[in-house]
Amino acid sequence: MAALASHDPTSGFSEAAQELDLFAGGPAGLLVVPGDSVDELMLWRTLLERMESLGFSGLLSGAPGAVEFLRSLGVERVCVVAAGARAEHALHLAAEEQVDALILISPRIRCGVAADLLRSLRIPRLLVAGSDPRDVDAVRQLDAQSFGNVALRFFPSPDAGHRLLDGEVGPLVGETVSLFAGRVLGLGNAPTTQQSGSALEEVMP
Amino acid sequence: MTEGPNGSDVGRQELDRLVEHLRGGSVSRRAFIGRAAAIGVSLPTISSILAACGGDDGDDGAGSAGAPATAGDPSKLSPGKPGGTLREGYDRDFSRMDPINTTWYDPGFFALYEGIITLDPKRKFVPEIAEKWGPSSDGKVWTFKIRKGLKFHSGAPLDAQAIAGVFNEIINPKAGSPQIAQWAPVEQTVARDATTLEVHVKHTFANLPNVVSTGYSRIVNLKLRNKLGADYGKKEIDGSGPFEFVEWVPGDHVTVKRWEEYPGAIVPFFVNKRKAYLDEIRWTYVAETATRALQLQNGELDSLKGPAPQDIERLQADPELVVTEIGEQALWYMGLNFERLGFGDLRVRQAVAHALDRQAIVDKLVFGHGKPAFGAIPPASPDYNDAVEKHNGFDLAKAKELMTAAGWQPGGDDILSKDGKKFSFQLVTSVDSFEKQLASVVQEQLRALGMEVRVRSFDEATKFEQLGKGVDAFVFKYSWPNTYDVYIVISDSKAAPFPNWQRAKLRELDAAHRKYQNAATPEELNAASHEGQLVGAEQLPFVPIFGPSTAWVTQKYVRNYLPISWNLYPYYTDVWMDNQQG
Repeated sequence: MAALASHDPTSGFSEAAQELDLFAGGPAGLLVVPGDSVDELMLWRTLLERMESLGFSGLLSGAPGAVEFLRSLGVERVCVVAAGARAEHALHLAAEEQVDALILISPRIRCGVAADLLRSLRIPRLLVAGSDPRDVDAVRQLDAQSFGNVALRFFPSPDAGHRLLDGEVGPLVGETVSLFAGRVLGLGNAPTTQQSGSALEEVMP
Repeated sequence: MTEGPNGSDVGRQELDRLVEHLRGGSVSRRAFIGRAAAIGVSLPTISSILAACGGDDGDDGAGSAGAPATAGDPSKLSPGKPGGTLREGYDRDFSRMDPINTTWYDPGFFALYEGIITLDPKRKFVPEIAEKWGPSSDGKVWTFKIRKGLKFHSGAPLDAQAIAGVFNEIINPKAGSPQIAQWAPVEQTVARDATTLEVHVKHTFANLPNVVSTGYSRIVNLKLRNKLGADYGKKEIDGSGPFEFVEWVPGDHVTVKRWEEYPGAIVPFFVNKRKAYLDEIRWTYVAETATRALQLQNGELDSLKGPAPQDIERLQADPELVVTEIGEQALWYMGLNFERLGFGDLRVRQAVAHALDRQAIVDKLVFGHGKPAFGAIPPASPDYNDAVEKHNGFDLAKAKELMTAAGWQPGGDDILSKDGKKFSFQLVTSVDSFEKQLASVVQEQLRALGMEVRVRSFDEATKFEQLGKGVDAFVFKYSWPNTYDVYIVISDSKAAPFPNWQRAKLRELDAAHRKYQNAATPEELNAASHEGQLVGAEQLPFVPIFGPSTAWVTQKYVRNYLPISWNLYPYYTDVWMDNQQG
């Protein structure tokens, strides 16, 4: 990825957009914070392509300014997604940016990092794990420190991290990510929410 | 095209050139997205251009005008196969499925009925029967525009008039709706015409959308309901949801079947906006906690709500099962009768609160599947104010100091006494085994403070009768989509003695509740909620214990099944089973 301009976090993205993993859908989008392995990148690309066909926009990047860049491209509602060790970075992004939801798959977050970040978060969160007791425990510990709307989902697989997106339960994990993002952000190009008063002029006689 | 890149002519020309290349096949779909984004075209616009132009989904650089690209089709999320009966185990006996007159809504409510609006998981209100809504400029009239042409399962019209009848029945004191307190600011509901519904309120009432969106405000065919009386909800049910009623066998099961004439949903987050995939759903009450998990693992059930907490770890390890867990919008609490013993003294209530080791209760009784609660709203609530955690933490020494300050001294048997009277009281529970266990742990923990607790259990109906008459103390669990609403119901002095069974009368708390009910904007509502939670943590209208979690377990072949915290249940219209033939 091209270097990003320091004065405007999104301008570097614009220049580098041709080289980015961008997916064009509606005003709801996923920002996936990937790891470095080619395997992982391929799995995320497959998921984002599928979600693009459902009407979700997407960006594969963990660089500073990624959320703002997605918003500058008309993505109004953003869900941050990450697996394994990248979950910590995603948690920071979710806590620091005004995102709408967070999905962490088999998250590995250092002790002490999570508590303060989780305390401030009230957005809907989905925490996913396989059946490895360490992963189950990690998810439960994150949940114990969280407030508000948190869903935990455990799949019958010994896999961890991004590998949960692969293998036998891969389609189920992908479906869960899509379903949760759809529930929280709205599906396809449909408007998600209608705040009270927003349609007043049309409604009132 | 409605949008130019960067708003400049140069950018627009660049985009036009790109579109030509895309159409000609010399630019791939992926390259088009990147280049268009680089010149500032929004992703939704790019998506529209791609849909209009067609193009392959690959990123190999070849590009073509092959299969048309989609602009987003939610039904692709998980294209369900129709058919099958979902056999779901349920952890409590069913109640009469009459929204106006029930104190609990079972999962069938969300299959059989629709509300005028509903909540998405972010707690934003979204259309369901009403397409649009909003308050008047003075906040005194809320107008809802109702979808045209809707009907109930029976064929009776579901229009503004039918809805107005339901809402007016809820506020009719003779109807016995348990939610009448939340509707207190509502004056009347009027059908201006078939598609225009007006809810008139006495003052600004930002909370109205919460009130009309709960399961208790689901729209029922009032004419049939009133005609059938107490048989409504038992023998017949007439709603407008994607499933219609088949039968209810009390104590055993409820069955519903797909409504073939379902006109479709407009709820934005439903994956399937058409007819349901499932032929039938059969909810079976599995009373014995020990057998629930076993029935699922034996293949007698496709899904299960509420396995025993101690079984969850084992179910997670089963290669055929998927486990989902959510924090309930619910709270276990202890009511202390303000008119009995010393419970009217804040120091005594604080002493009880400090004597409870909530984490030990969560660990011991629900194996960690819950969270300690220090205020009136559970930690799983989106508007939870974590500042309440400064109060009521486990501190036995502090609890003893408070009792001493209140004039209670240890007697020879280590039981506190004052003016010759022992601190001994009855703690009422239902016969539910969990309630009894909880009471037993509370008994043990308060004994360390020097209080003698006598646990007494009654069947559910008798327990309510006793609470109405007045008891020393009780344990109770509330569960409600908008927890602040039920907080008002169980703690406002106007709600004593029912369902404010502890007879709490706290002026500062009442004032906080009034602020909440009079809030004019969502911001005011949130601020009032936070204030009310803090006042409650300080004044203790009741002693919070913990917020429970709920687990749902499904066979791997059960798809699109995602329960949501605020309403507890999945959306059955989305659910399908991947084990059907064809």
